[in-house]
Amino acid sequence: MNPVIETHKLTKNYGKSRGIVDVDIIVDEGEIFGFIGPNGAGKSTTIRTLLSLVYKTSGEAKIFGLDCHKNREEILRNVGYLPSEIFYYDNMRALDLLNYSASFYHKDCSARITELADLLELDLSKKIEDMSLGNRKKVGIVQGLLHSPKLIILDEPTNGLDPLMQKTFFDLIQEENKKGATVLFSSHILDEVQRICDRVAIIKEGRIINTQKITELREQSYKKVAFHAAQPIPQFEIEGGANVAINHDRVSFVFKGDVNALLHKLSQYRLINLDISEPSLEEIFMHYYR
Amino acid sequence: MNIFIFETKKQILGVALWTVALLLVVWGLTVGVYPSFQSSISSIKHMIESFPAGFAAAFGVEMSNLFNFGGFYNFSFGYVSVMGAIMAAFLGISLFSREARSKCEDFLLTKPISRGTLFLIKFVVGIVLLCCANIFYLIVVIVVGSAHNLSMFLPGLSLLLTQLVVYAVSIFCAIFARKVRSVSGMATVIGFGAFIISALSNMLNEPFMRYLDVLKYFEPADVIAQGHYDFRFTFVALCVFFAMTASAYIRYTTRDTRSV
Repeated sequence: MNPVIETHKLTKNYGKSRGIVDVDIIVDEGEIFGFIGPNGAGKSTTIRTLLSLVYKTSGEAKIFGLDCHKNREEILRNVGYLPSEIFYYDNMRALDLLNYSASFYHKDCSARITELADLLELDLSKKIEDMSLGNRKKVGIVQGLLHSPKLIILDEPTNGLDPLMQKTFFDLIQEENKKGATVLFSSHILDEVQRICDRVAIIKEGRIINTQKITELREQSYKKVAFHAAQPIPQFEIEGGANVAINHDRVSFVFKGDVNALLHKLSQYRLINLDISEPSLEEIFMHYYR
Repeated sequence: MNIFIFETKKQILGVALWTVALLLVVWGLTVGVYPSFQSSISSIKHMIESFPAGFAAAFGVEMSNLFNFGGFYNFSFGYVSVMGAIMAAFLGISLFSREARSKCEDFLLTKPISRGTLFLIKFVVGIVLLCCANIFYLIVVIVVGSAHNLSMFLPGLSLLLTQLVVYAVSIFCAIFARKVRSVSGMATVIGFGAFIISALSNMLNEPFMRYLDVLKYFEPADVIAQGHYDFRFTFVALCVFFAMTASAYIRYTTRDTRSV
């Protein structure tokens, strides 16, 4: 498959504050690629560098095989972007803003605007500044998709959308994906990423620490272990254990390693209860953040 | 073209109001005040002579030619040019800080258009609007001047030329400022800043101050007396215009967009 997004040692330095360091990601054509990390990890900086909103310090960034900086206009013709925070011009109706946005792509987007607005239950006659956060987000979604882009970049897209609208939004993105659009989906909410993404890159303190298929991430035989002992446990350590939480006589942790070693360790305690289960993606993710 | 239309629509009302105000002031001074001014020459002379010399100079009062139409227009221009400077600054700051003030730079800068083209379109919108406003201004000034048998094309053009320099300065300020809280506030600071420099230049009568006096680069008195603008100040004005525009262009096309 052709990579739609390709970065190699992409670095953005903001001077005193950290940006991103040596970011390598490859997003293949037609995939929904998740990009996860907590706030401040470098997700938005990576996206903003790809979109030439900020300029890279070093490294390479390509979209559709073209240099993000040198071929900016050509790339942006086929990119739809939904920023995390939605702000538009003051004193403007949603329809006027969307028509203005469409005018940059030199094609008639009016039918698509109406279709998307109907789907998202968005009143286009309202002024944007009078809209709720959720409705402004909907304007952002329509604005990002109205020209049927080949690459959709979503930065924390569901912020402000109610659960029903989130489902509509995910369905819409998956529909666009089926039509051939590639999606870069940045979020700090793993559940969302897990819901629609094929692969995921985890970013921590500006560096990519892992890129995996969602299914692989879940299948790495991580176990969530929780036990209740008959005696207080002052400290607990085990090789392969992470996120250890001790509460008097109760211990919980995420475990990846030799199960026999785990059982041997647990046999040292007189147990009242033991629970070994599949961890959530959130818990696996936290493992990377230790 | 879409950006040109969009920006023009956003600016046209403000420019129209400023133009009407400018026309009223110049009409009021040259048609309303000047005749009564002429009819009371001796009492006005007496009043002005009673002022401290620096005070009269600070307000652009030049006794040698104040009582002919050209001299009076030159005196009036001192005030019209401040209004024109505020108008030009308002236009430049408004055009070039709109996205930053609305926190929607991401919207415009992720459209398939180069930053250089964006800058040029916005820049041209300002120039076109200033030219349109000055067509009306020139018509009024030429009509009034013809009643006094004075060709007022070049003296009238001084406003546009002064505004273009201030426009470039204001674009520079809008792009280099960390944050533009209020367009009118910043435009007023630029306009009155230019007026204070001009007043100081008049009072101190130091030759180097004249090079800082943006409002006097195209002083109508020079044209009325010599038939052309002073070449030194025209050159300085050109340098200021191009230096400010070029630095603003470079900054606009190379800066990192702030995230909101």
